[in-house]
Amino acid sequence: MLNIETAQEQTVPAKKRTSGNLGRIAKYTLVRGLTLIITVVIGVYLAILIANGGGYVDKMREGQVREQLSLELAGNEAMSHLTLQERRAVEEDMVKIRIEQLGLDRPFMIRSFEYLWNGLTLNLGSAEYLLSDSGSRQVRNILGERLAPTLLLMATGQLFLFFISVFFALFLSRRYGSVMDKIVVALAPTSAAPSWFYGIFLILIFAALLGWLPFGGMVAAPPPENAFLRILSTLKHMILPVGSIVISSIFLTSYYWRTFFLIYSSEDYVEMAKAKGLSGRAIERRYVLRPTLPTIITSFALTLIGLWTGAIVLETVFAWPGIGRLTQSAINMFDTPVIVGTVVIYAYLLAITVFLLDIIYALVDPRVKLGGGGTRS
Amino acid sequence: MSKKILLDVKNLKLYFRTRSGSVQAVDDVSFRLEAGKTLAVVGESGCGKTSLAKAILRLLPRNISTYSGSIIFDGEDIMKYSDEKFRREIRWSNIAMVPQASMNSLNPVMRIEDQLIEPLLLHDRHMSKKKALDRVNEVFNIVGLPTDFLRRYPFELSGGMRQRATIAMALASNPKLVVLDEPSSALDLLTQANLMNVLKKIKHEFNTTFILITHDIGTASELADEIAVMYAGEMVEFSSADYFYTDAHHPYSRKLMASVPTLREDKELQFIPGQPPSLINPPQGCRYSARCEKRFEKCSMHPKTTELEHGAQVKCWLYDETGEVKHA
Repeated sequence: MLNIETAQEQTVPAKKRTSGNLGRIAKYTLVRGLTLIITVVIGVYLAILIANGGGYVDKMREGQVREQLSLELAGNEAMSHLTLQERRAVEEDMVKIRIEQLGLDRPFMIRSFEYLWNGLTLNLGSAEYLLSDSGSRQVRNILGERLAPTLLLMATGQLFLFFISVFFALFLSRRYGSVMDKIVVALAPTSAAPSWFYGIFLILIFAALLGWLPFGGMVAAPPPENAFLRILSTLKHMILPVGSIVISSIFLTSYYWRTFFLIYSSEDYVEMAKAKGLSGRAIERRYVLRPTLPTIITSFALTLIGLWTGAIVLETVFAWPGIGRLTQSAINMFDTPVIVGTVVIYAYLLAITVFLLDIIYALVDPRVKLGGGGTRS
Repeated sequence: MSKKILLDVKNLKLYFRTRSGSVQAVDDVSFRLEAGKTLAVVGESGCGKTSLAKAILRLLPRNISTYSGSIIFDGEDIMKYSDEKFRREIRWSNIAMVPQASMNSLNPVMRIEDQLIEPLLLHDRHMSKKKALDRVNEVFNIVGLPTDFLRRYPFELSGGMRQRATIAMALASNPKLVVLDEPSSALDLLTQANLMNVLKKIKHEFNTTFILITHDIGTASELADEIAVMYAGEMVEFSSADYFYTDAHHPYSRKLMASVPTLREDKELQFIPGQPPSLINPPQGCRYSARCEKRFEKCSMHPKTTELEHGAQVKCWLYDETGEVKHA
């Protein structure tokens, strides 16, 4: 009478899944990567259309060429014996040659796709006005010089923001309803203001008023000879910009994530973990933090998009020699190749950030699947 | 079978604090359970069955206002243990639980195997991972799950399989007492029967003591040696299953029995009109009196527990020969 039937449900062979796990992540990564590339292409093309005023910038440049040539010709002694008509004709010819040189005679739509390809490969030729610090006119050199400081600042800020928020949110979820918790909930709307807004205040307090930290820049002027001191100086210069990145988002992310933690800690498996006699810390790490991570990563990806957009002004406020400040000066000087270059770089940076988060997401959540068999539960 | 008392619960109370008042989820519950026996706790929804299970395992929410009484487990009053000692010495190593909706009690982002060996490694420092895995394989066989499922994630298993995996998890550490909180409620009848057979087999082979919480009296009869009937936070009847199924004492228990369908017996299924009272400020007298057909004037007073023959206990004035009527 005590015979028991083994599971009727045993259907799927087991070998499928040991190899399946890596394949699953690889496939997922590939699809996510392709999607992001398409997004970047569309984004960059739109930026090119906008930066060229939908072709209107070509007319402006044509006008500039004409003006420059007529000034040159007016000052030219050799032309003074020609009649006005002849001079006009010569001018027209030269304008035509110059425009052909610049390639402005071909239709804008065709050139826009060339721009797109050149943009995506960062083959942007030379800048119109801006120079790199080493004196190069090549857009690629100008951008390359500025990339490292931006990465340093943003990556540090984002990592700090993520880890501080996670631990702070866990702390708050343990103290749900405490005064601290209520303060954070009340402060959450402060994250509506971008990081540079807080940057201005931090500069006012810590640089202008207290004089503890530098106003801006990346390293003291003149830079210290010693490499170690130079690193120290850079770290000191990073405190305020990184601080303003963290301050600008921490209350909102902590508020969000604490709520996620609270929701996930009322799951049945958390109580089960308690019944199993696990310690509070083990429960928090394996049964609350781990299952909540996918949700948190999604929410962090959204925060990051906001942070990258704010980077342009943030770098300008802190005189940080990165892509952001370059973007700002390029816009001011109407340096189209550089503008396009910065847009492409930002698109890439944002896409890479999202892509990395996607991979982490797939690693932390075994339920992530694309195609092949629907998920249960 | 040995007459050793494994669990002796005396005057256990568990009250919750809510905005509208104190919820008396478990009110003055006392019972004894011999080692190797199975106690089925039956009653309507919301009468404190699950709270009783949680009170025994000290799985308390934040808003408790009263948690008192004594729980003597294997000769020791575990209510006196500190939280840390309770966690280390009682949870899972001695008392394990299969919670309600146990299909949701597996962590979705951990392999089942890791979740099963976790308490084994935690409670026995000498246990190697290899030995723990062997043990987990063993219990998977006992509950009738293929062992290659151990490497899977919970979402890759059906609800019934997850429930059995949870039962396997509860058995893995060889606890003396397993509390099963409606282990089969969400399952189809075939899977339910299968599960009951698994539990029966475990009971006979390993002499494990079970507390089976259920509202399905029919299923309970499969396994139970003792029956406890809960009503509105109180244990209104405690009796041996043999007698209970033929001759329940408390009017509420009788009504419960009359509501169970039986084959080839021409009876009309009965129901009890009305609802159990709210556990917030429950009525002063007998909590069942408002729905009781046998109600008489004494019922406006709170009944005491009366001992009957065969060790049955009942909380009803009908059986109280000596009890004095006290005016409050």
